[in-house]
Amino acid sequence: MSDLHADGSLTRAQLLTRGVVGSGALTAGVIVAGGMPKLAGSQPSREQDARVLEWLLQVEYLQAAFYSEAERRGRLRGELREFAVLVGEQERAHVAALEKAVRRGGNAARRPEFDFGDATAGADEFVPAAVELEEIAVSAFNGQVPNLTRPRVLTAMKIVSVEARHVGWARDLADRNPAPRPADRPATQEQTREAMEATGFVE
Amino acid sequence: MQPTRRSGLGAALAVAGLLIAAAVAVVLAAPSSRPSTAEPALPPSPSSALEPENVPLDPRPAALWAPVVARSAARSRPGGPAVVAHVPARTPEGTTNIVLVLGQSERRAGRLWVRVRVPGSPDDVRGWMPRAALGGYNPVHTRLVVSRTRLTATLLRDGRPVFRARVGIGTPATPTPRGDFYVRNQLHKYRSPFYGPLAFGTSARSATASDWPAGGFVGIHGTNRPDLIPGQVSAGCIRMVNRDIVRLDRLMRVGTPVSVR
Amino acid sequence: MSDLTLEAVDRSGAIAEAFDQLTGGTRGDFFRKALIGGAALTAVLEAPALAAPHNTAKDVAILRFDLNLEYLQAAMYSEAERLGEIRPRTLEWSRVVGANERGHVKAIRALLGRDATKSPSFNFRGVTEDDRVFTETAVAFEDLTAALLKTQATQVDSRRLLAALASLHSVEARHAAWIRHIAGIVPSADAFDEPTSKAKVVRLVESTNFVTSAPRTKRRREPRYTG
Repeated sequence: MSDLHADGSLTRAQLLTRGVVGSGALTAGVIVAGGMPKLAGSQPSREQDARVLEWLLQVEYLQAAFYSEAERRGRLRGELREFAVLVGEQERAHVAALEKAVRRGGNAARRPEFDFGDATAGADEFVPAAVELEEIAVSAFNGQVPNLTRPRVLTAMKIVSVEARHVGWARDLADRNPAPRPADRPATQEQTREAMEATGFVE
Repeated sequence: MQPTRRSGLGAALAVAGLLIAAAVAVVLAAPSSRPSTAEPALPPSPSSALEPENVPLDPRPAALWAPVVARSAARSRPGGPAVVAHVPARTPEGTTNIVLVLGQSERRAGRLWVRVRVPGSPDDVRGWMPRAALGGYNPVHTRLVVSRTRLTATLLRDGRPVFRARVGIGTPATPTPRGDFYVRNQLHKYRSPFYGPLAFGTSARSATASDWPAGGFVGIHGTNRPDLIPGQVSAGCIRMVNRDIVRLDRLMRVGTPVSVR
Repeated sequence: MSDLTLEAVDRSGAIAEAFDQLTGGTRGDFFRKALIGGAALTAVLEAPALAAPHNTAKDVAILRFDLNLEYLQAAMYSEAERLGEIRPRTLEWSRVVGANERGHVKAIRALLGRDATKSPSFNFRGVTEDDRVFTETAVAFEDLTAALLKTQATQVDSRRLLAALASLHSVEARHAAWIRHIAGIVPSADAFDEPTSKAKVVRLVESTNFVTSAPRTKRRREPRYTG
């Protein structure tokens, strides 16, 4: 029995062996091109991984630049300063890892630039900005994790775990509830893009 | 407005907006003096089917009980010499003995001591036991109130009455003791119809039946003499008609505090 | 139309289960017989979403393991909040995080449907009554839960479940950072958090001796109460 119809869609046999059942849980490996009911998302692939990671890299650039500038301007004290230095180091490591994953040289000239204004100048603006950026990162990663192949799922989870630690830390520093909801909401690429623009740091 | 180098990412994001709408992947731009405009269009990922909400804690329980895992003395002070009661690990009925946990703890010489309520005379006594002598803590949300004057037993759940029954209590010569007690165990599937289909054991001891085998503990149970209920008819136990004890069984768990007035 | 047997296609048993629900369990004969008519099979496949969601056996195992871990954390933090004997900042953490974990229990039970298991019995052995020990234990559990969820994310069959696990995973990491901050430890020690194995989690749980058997307070025995 052939695996594919002439138009490229799966035959009923293949459909059944891949375990589609009603409109309940979606199992991996089910989604195919053409001839299928509308399903959210598309099949993970190495090619899509590269595009996802390239996108998440943009989110990391924003964070890394923020902490680097705060450290450079030197106006934070005490634990806030330690926070900026350590978190900055970790965000820069994320940038390096993602650049390597998308096979992109570390050419600094190719990185986007941002305008942080006073957000990197002192504690009052720095902390809320840090919370905002880390929340963007957590929801961006959570939104993309299900689009990745398994090895890259792990890579992304190893990073978003640290972003979530950053947001927990920053929120506690800001006297805000670090864990207001039992589950974090994922963001689509569109939602992340809007959130990044809403920071005012991106032009 | 002419885009500057500083607005590279902004321009790239705007381009991405168009690309997303067209659902076309964008390949990486060739190296140039401007920042990369690679803004791949990504599909929305499957939604998680998970929208959990925070769950508040249950209302404050009527009591907290713990099993006794090792025979121990309840002392008047943590680690102190004076013993208020000896607390065995098993009841005379062969069930795991339990105590009520009062929610205070203290460290003495590296050991954690906790304040408890245990069987005593004329009613429960309070003391301190080593935490290590107890098992896990279990909340109960019910409380049983027995009125010796009205001959009723009322079960309250989170303060609201959910059960009431007429009862038979001890005769004047063998009274049901007055005070604060708790349900320690439950027996069922036995033969004797004297006790009805099931029986709860309490921490209450009958004052006049101390030579009764098995310690003379007061039970709450059914009966084969429903004609005697309500009344002062027993050797100390709290009896109710069988239909009522079966109803009570559905609502009341071991550890439930029992007030006899 | 089709010449397939149900057995050949129904790897996870999901179709068979769906069929049971539709037909009241006459699957036995059906399962064994050779052929499935197109209409009947289509009816099974296109059945509306059932009350109990369908998970593969592997996903059920993963969710059940998570559920037990959530039961433990929920119970521990609930007890700490109930007793109120730890310090105010830790108590506040326990209150907020306990509400999250109780929410996780409810959500994972809903994901499992009929495959949900009951909570084990726990004895927290004073850990909920001592601030220092509670804090150390909470740090260990939150760090380890976040690590375990990474491993499970790479193992889970369903991508919807992957999304669900991811949304819980980042919250556990928030918990971990927050309790570390309270304890005076660096909230994010590394740039990349490593996954951990189920075996390591089992070892941690065993080392605490928190899981106990339920006490026997009910017996078949002739009463000897005073009467």
